[in-house]
Amino acid sequence: MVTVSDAESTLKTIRSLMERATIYRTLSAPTSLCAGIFSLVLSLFVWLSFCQSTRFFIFLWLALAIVLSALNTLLLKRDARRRGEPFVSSGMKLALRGIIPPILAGASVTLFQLLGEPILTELIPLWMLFYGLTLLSTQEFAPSSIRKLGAAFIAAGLLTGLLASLWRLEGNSHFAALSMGLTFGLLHILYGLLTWSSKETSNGTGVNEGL
Amino acid sequence: MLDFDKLDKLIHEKGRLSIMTLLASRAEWPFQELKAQLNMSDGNLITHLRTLHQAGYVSLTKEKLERPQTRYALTAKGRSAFQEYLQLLEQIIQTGKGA
Repeated sequence: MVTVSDAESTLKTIRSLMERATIYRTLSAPTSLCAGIFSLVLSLFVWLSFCQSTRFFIFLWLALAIVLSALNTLLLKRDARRRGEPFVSSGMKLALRGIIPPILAGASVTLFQLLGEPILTELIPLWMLFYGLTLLSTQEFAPSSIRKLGAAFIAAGLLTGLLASLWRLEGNSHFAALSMGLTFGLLHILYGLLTWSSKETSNGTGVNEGL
Repeated sequence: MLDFDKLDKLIHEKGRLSIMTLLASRAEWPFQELKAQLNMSDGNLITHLRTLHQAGYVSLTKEKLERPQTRYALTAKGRSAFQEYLQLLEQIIQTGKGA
């Protein structure tokens, strides 16, 4: 004989277990913090006009993106090993299917700009939009913080593009530095700090204790 | 207070209920991922999986990649039993609230 509250508790635990089992985090908190700090340093470098060339600006940010992607991959691999799961898990396969199209689109736009005369005030909002879309492409199984970060990048991309167009800021390196620092810098640091010690980063479901 | 006699005892055991819940959330699960998610020992997990397999609730596929891997999935019978179990839980709650 059991009570109705036992049945409710069992159903609640089943729901929680199913939700947590389908979550896959594509961006680790340490990577996000590193991304934020390096982005701020790079933005400061541009702000102080150590970076005069538009192409050099693009290559610097591409290099940072590649380094941080490698770091994120290493950390995801380490986490998977710690949990005793394969690195290329079903969660990762699902994530890759979602993130590859927006990443390819962003890379293509960058390449097209590099082939011609790149305009930073066009490229930067597009980077924000494609990055936001990349994060949102995992929203079906990502924790809510990833969805919020993706939405923030989409909003920032739209706002940056609008401001750059209205104020005619083509070639303004200070605007480029400020917009990159505020988004890829501060947003990543905020995300990293908020998720570092939150429950979302905990692994395992603790089912044995829960049920 | 309500009688849980109608509930499938095979599923209602907490370890097996966890396994059935995870198996219902994805098409299939490798043994190592199940183990990591549930924090169960190899022996405990294998015993529960064997019980569910013998009841016809779970199917298994053995693969030989770099190292042997066994993947588990719910059978149609298992999925139907799990759905009935959930429906019964909901009925118990509704009946209890209505009383």
